[in-house]
Amino acid sequence: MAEPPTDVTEILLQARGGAPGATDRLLAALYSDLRGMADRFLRHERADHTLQPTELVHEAYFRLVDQTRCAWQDRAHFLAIASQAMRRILVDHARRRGSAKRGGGVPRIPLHEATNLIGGGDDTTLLALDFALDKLAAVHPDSARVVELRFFGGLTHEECAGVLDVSPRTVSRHWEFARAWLYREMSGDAPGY
Amino acid sequence: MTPPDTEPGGDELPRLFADALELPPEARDEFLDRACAGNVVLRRELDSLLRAHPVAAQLFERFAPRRDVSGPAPAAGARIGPYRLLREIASGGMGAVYLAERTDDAYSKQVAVKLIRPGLGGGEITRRFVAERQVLADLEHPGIARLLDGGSTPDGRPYLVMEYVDGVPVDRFVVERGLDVRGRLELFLEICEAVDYAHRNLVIHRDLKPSNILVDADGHPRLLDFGIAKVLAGSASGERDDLTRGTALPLTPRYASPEQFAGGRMTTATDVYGLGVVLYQMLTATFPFDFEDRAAHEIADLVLHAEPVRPSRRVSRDAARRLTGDLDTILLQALAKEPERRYRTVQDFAADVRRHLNGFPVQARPDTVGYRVSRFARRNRSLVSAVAATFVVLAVALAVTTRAYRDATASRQEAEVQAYVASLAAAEASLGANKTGEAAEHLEAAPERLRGWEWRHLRSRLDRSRGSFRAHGRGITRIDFAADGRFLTASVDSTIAVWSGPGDLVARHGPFASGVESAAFLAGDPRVVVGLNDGAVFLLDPADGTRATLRDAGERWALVDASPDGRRVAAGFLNGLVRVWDVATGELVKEWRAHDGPVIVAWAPDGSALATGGADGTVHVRDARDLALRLDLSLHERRVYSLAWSPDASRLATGSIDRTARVVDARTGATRCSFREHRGTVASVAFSPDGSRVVSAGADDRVLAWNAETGGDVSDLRGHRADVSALATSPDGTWWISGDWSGEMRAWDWTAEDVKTIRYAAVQSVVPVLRQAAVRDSSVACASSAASLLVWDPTNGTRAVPAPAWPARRIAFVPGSGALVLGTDDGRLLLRSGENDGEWTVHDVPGGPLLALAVGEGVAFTGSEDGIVRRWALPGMAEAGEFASDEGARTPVLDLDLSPDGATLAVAGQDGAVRLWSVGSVRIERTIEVGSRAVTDVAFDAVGRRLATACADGSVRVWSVDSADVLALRPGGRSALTSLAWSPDGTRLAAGGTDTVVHVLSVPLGREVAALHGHVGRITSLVFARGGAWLLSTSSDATVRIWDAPLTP
Repeated sequence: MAEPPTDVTEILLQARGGAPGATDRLLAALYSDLRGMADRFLRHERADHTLQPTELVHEAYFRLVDQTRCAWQDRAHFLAIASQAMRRILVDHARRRGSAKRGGGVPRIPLHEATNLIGGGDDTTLLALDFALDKLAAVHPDSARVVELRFFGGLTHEECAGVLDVSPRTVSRHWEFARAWLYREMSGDAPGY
Repeated sequence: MTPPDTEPGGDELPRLFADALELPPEARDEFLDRACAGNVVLRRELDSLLRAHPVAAQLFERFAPRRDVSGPAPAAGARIGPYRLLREIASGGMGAVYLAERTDDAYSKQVAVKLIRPGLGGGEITRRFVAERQVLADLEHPGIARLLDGGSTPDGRPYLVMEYVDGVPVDRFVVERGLDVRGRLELFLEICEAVDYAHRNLVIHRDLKPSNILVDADGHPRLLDFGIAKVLAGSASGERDDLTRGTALPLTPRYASPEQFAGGRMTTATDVYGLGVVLYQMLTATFPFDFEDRAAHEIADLVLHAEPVRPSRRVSRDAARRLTGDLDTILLQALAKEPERRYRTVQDFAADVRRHLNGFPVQARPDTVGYRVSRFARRNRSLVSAVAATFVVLAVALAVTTRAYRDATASRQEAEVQAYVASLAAAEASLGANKTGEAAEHLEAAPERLRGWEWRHLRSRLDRSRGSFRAHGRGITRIDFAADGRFLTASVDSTIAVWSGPGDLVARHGPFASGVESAAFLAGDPRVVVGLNDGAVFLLDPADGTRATLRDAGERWALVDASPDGRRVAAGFLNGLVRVWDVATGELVKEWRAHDGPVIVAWAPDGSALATGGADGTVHVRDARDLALRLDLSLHERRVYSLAWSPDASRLATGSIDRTARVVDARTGATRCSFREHRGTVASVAFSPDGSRVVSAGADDRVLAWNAETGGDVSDLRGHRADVSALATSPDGTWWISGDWSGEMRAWDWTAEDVKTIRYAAVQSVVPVLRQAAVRDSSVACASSAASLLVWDPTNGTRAVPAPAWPARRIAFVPGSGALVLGTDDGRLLLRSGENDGEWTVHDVPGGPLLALAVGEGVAFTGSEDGIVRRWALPGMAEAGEFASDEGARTPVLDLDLSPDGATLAVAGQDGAVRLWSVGSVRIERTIEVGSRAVTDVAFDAVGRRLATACADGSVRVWSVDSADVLALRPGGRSALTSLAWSPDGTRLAAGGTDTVVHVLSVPLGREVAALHGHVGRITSLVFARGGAWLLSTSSDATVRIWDAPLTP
């Protein structure tokens, strides 16, 4: 059996063509690449550094796809998968660091801190978001997907719409909903708590 | 059915939520009542979500994508703020521009409303606009269209309102009007005038292009969009912000300067470049590069690396005659890659164009071969920093000077002085925080008229490297020296470059299939081993570009190194594997899984071992013969990012993402020292050629040199403005080369540290107080509380010279002879005649500790605790007489100074008075009552007309020798001052004391203008040397600092 291709563009084309396992392979390839870039480009440890996954994913796109002149219409698909990879990287990163400092468990963040979430690449809030996003995905998977694409992948509403095959307005509605839902979840303000 | 106490799933909740959200708040209740129809759980959910929504909107704001959903373009007749849109007149990267008029204005003047594309600048645009509004509104120049207003629409789209200009873009205008070259140049000069006006008001344009330069029916140009880039890009409070935001801003690729592509700082030089492109286009109707059919990244590559096409080659043969020579040269100078090679100001650019028009020789010089050869030498440290200092970057300049200028109550002069002092204080603080870009901005903001020694000093600290050079547009991943002194640089831009010296590019290779992760010379082989990001490893022959593949692409991140004999190559990969090949056969020798990847590899310089380091923080040392594991060390908490061997292969230095660097024994694995000064990943380490020092560099933009045994004695090598990612030392030890993530490389030598600090190494844990320094040529001798002299020579370093007596307090060189005089605590005067290791002669001085010393032509004076001043004849040091206070007060003499003509001796007493003695008549001519506290230092200025005093109450005063005039430079009631020094030009006094700060006082301004921080102990003495290029301070912290201020930029 032929070895599965490792070239991102090629896998991307296969994934679009619906080849079995192609998306997983793409995710795996992207994960290692983005992780490397995350380390190398961003050096998360800068004291003043604000993590910018959007830039990272776009950089990945430029390096991996644009330079091999991949067709433009693959961009949204690429970014969709890259945003999943990005989420995993950020969360893994936060978890690795967090595990050194704390035990496990789901962090609960105070309300006032939730308002300036993530901005500083705060591990606690990132993990809380990841956890809340999983919960959201269990009940409202489409809304959760929009958050993953927009937040971790930096996709625009239109690009999200392309990936999810819905109208931009629907994306916008999901986004508004998900934000409110996640905020409520993360700040522990959900009814019944 | 959904149980009533669980959350409603499906799409009902999101749908109702979004529907409700689209309703005005007052209509929501009714809608929800109806929609939920008694479903209490659903209703409660919706209520709580709607409650959360307004706050949640901020939740992801800082992460909002840059490009957002773009709403439909507003139609004619739509209202934006108080403006009614009439028609769209243009659209571009930033958004659409509409002709509009005010709806609430009786005299409806037409304006242009620029509706900014959503996502650009984000929600902060309004705040930034407000911050900039005043400055931009004050740009009153007939050639500049004024910015009138700005705000954001209800749906959050920012807009800017400016004067409407009815005109034609300048490139079209010159063609339509059929202007000849002279006419075009004259029009261009008018454009320059407007840009220069803005620069003088500290506003740069950043996006000059014909579509922003409209020419009206009368033929006068009007510039649009001045300052808008700033509003859109945010405050340039730090170069890093500029960099990231600069990329977010849609630059116009064909007009963008190399620094805009490279993410460098945008300055007035950026506008010089932009004007160069505009003039090029006005003269040739084309661009300086062949941009046709190029993608954006190819344009970037051309702008960054290609030489512009000579304008004369762009036009017909007839027209070419007009352009060949001057105009070619002028344009190529304006379009130089490095900002510092362009015209320094728009004024200079315009002046050259004017010279050409008037038939005078122009000042621009073509790039000759000689020029290229001498380029690096010319771009030495001081020149680079001088040019850097002329860059006007706005933010802080505006913050500081505008505030000061507009202080309505203070006089203009006072405001200017305040601005100057504030700028310098801010610059010093920025330097302390290693924010070089900010510091440069602060210094630039300092009013030029007031700049003096302190400004020169701070400017010199902006950049301590010998010079910078560049060939790569992006990050440098590896620098490797060959034995002959050549070095190569590898870059993520997929190329490698070979250099014969700093700035002397020999060749470039590539681009390869992906970024170059690492590359190294092979000894005894012309080839170079190259490892790519895609995992390919090959041997490249630079002569013909042929490659011998060792490993195909696939595994990613091939980090390579060649053994010192050039016979073997090792590579580590992202997947944790290490492979070693035989160069001669190309055969794989061994392959093993070493660590979590990526793995970095380094051969020992004696060929005995191979070290590898991985993402798990471990380092392995293997025997080079059989590659068997010799040492398995767990050194870091996180990934080992860099590895270097000491030249004798006895030690290894490591740098890690955990922000530490270590030095370990390569045989035992014992840690020799752990270095924690970096504030980011330690991306590169290297040993000095003698192995005594380590240089490390990292994500905090700093290059630090430190003692390899102790981790102490840290020198901060400042200059980079991006993550420093690679480092190497030349085999002969002459140079350090560093490379950063923007692609910039710098060369350094021993003078490179921030403030030269000479340290008296503690002997048997006794840390001596350094009491006074004397300078002769470039060597420094220092008296200390230890019974030895600290002598520092720039070529030999530091050494301690035993002095045959007690600790010394005072030291001086005898003018002209090189003899050294010391005054000691046990009341002895020591004289060492001749050069360095001459004989000491010792003279006992009665009266207790010798507290003061002044040396002149053939004479020395000493002051003692008993209040008696003694005169000694040089060279033999025979005692020649006594001066004693005739009131019989007999106050201890704390300081002495001899007037430049040798006729007057100033004696500072513990009783708070200075007595001026006539040396000839041995009489007190005048007694100056300084205050009630001890006068600790007294100093004549260079011409002997003024006398400065420092006092234990912290005051500094300047007294006229001939009159009763006195100038209080620093009030008393502060921490005690112990020493004072005049700058040779007589405009500055440096004062220091118990607060550990070197205070710089301006005599003309009558106040303190700068405070230099660095010492951690009290300051014991100060002296200017080398014509004011140095200020030396000694301290109880056992250091001498040399604060330098190069006289010629």
